[in-house]
Amino acid sequence: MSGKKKTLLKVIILGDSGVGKTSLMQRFVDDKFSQQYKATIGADFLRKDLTLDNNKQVTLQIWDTAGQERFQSLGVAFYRGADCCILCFDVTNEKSLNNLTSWKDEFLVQSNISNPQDFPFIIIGNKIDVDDSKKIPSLQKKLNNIVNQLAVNANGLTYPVFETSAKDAINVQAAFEVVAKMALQQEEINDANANDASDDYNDAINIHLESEQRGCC
Amino acid sequence: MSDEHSSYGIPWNKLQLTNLDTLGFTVEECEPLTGLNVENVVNSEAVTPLMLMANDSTTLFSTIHNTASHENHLKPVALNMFLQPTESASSSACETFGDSQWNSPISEEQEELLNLLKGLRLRERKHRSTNLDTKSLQISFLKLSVYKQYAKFLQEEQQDQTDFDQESKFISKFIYPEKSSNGDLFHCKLKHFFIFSHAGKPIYSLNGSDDVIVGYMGLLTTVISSFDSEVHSLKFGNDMQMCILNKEPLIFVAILKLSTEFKSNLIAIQLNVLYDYLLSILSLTTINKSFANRMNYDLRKVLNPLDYYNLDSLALKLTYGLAPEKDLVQLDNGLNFFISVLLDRSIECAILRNTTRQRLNSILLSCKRVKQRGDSSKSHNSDTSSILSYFSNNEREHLRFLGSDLLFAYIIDGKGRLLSKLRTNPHCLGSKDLLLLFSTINSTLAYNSSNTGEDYWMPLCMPHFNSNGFLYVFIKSIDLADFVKVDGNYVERTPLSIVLVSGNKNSFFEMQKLSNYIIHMIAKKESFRNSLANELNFSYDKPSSTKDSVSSPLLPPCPVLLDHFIFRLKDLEQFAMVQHQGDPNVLKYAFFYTQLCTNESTIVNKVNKKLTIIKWQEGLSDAVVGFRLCDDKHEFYALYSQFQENESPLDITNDSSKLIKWCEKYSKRLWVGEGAVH
Repeated sequence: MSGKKKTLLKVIILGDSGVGKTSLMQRFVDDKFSQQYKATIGADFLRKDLTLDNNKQVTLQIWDTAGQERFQSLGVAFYRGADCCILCFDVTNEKSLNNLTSWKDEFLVQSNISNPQDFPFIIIGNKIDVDDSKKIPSLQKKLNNIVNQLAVNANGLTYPVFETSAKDAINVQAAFEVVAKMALQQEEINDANANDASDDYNDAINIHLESEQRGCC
Repeated sequence: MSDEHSSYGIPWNKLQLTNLDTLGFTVEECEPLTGLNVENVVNSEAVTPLMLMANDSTTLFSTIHNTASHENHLKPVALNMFLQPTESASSSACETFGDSQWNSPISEEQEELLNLLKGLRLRERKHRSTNLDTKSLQISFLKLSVYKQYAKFLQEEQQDQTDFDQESKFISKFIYPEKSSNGDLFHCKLKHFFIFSHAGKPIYSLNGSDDVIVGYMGLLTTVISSFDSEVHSLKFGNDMQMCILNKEPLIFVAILKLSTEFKSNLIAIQLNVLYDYLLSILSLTTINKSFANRMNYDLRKVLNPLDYYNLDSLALKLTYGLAPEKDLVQLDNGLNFFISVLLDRSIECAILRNTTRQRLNSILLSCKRVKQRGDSSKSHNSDTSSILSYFSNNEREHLRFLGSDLLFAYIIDGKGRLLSKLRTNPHCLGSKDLLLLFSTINSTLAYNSSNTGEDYWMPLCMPHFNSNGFLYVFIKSIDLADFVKVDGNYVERTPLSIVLVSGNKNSFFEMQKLSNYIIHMIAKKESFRNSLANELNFSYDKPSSTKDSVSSPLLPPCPVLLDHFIFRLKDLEQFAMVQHQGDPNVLKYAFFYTQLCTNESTIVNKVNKKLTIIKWQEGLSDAVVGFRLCDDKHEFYALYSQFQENESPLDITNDSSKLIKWCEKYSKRLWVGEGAVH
């Protein structure tokens, strides 16, 4: 019965203030876009059901965090128990690209993940709809540098990179599908490990009348 | 009825103030009755709780409940008649009574209180006459208008429906769980329970689908991360409260609009009951292991539909005393579970004659002495005739005790009331674990009600006994009525469950044989079987068979106005309750008892005896009066209905004191006590 239940995956979106995290989420969940900029306060929580190619049903619980410095104290509560982390930058803002490393480090420190080298990250460069003239000069080269830098400690993993536009709905759906797949994969690996470990608990605990010393009276 | 009252030898005097010794306490150990806590709902309009300490004018005070947000009834009225002494006698008494007067003659105290009560009634009537235009609010006040949302609901509904239709609509809209994705229905509910992990992943919700709740779980996780304490309460305005129980890696949250539950630690207990349930099916070790090193674990993977049903059932019973529809098959209306939790998780005992109970105890005790033949071919034979052979003392060397792994044994009836119990030294299951065990048994039986007569064998962790390990519980249910065929006597439908708790997971067949032995011992003798069934089915509705004329009646003579009473023994954490006639109105009782239990009480004397009397106006002429008296050992609760204006609250006190006396005299009928100990 439990197999029929949709797997719930917790996805965190991180990145500098104003790179379009909320817009990405809005586009993905509601297929909407708003020109107006409204800073996220604290965090936003949305969910979306997805059916993957292998007919697996997953529910994404998306935690859209505030990029502003002053909300960073909330970090621990947000990052705990995440299944996947989206690192977001703005293709017109070089600083937001350079900051990805510190967002990743921040996440790993706060979330207290047991195997950081296996944890799935995905990188999204948003706002590709804008004029090429406004984009970061030689974006591909700089992006590759950063991605390599991010993956330096990863266990041979390459982090997928997507260039999206929340405004024109380019690549958003595809990016989140990859997020779901990666998180699910991670989840299954975790389960397999846990099953190995949990084999003993059924037998380990047994209260014997003679040997048991604990009574509560 | 009137004959029975006189049999007490206490005059049925309307205006006599009860001495404390008639309340079941000796005069030496206590002070005269000097305080009363009267809460009054006048014409569904006013709440006027008044605390008074008549013998010490410096402690005279009153409290007015803050119920200003209640739109349609229960508005606060500053009505404090005791600050202006009405009669001459009471005013002088108020001023002159000091600490030195504590031991003054009881009669003066009586007079004093009597005058106060008279004053109260006068004022109450006066107030009422000015508020006669509230008739429209009185539609079935007793049932549902205890929920302030009901009046508003009625306005929105069509008026041509019957009360019954409206009530059932209200219950399904505001009370019964709603698992759909409809946000409006979700927000209607008066109470929510949520369980989720520290990562904010939902595990259980009483209402709403994932669609509705996933966002809230994230929000709650964030809010809760800023609190350190294990239990935390937050109040939102006057009509909403949130209570959080933080048991890392799990978080339990209740959000409620039920104002009766606001002012107590009741919600924390309720959340703990849900926590205990999760522990009972998983054990603390498993939960901690599951989340160790991976906070993203989704606990829902290991919960099955029965677990979700049980959680729903617990949540409903905890709050309203209502059972999910399936449970009704089991004759379980959920009230006893509700009262259990309200009374700090005590266990309800079935009222039985002492001889009957002793016999059951000795049957359970003899379990430990039943031996088994070494030969295994017979061990799968459950025929009762072969069971007797286990008793034989031949071949002593080759026999072993059948019950060597048996830790605890219980006999419970269809309502989950305890009849008899056995424990083996040094082990003991506390009442919190027992309540969990019985409710799990009850809902398991209800869930599988189509397959009666099955044997159940389930591992359960008893968190207060040992939260790391499992005990193995064998359950067999029988109906005493099924044994009619044997000798042709009619026995009313009387479901019984034999519960055997073993420490060894391989002892199923031993437990099965033991249960057959117990059933055989209970049912083999017609007279015992009949008297057991008679006593279990005894109620005021069905005056018992002729047998009872020989000995004293099983239940106390019932005061005319009495609806329901509860008597609880605190140190054993057991209680018994009696319904006068008809079926209990569960929602109403739940509301009244919660108020009785959580309202402040007045200390009657130096030995810490506490008294609470609450009056709820019902219609124009009569009222429901709740009475609570407790000390360190006992607690007595009673509800009286159709209380007329011209009657004195002192009658209630008199009636209650008689009931208390009866309960103390026949205490062995009410409690299982320690039960059998091996």
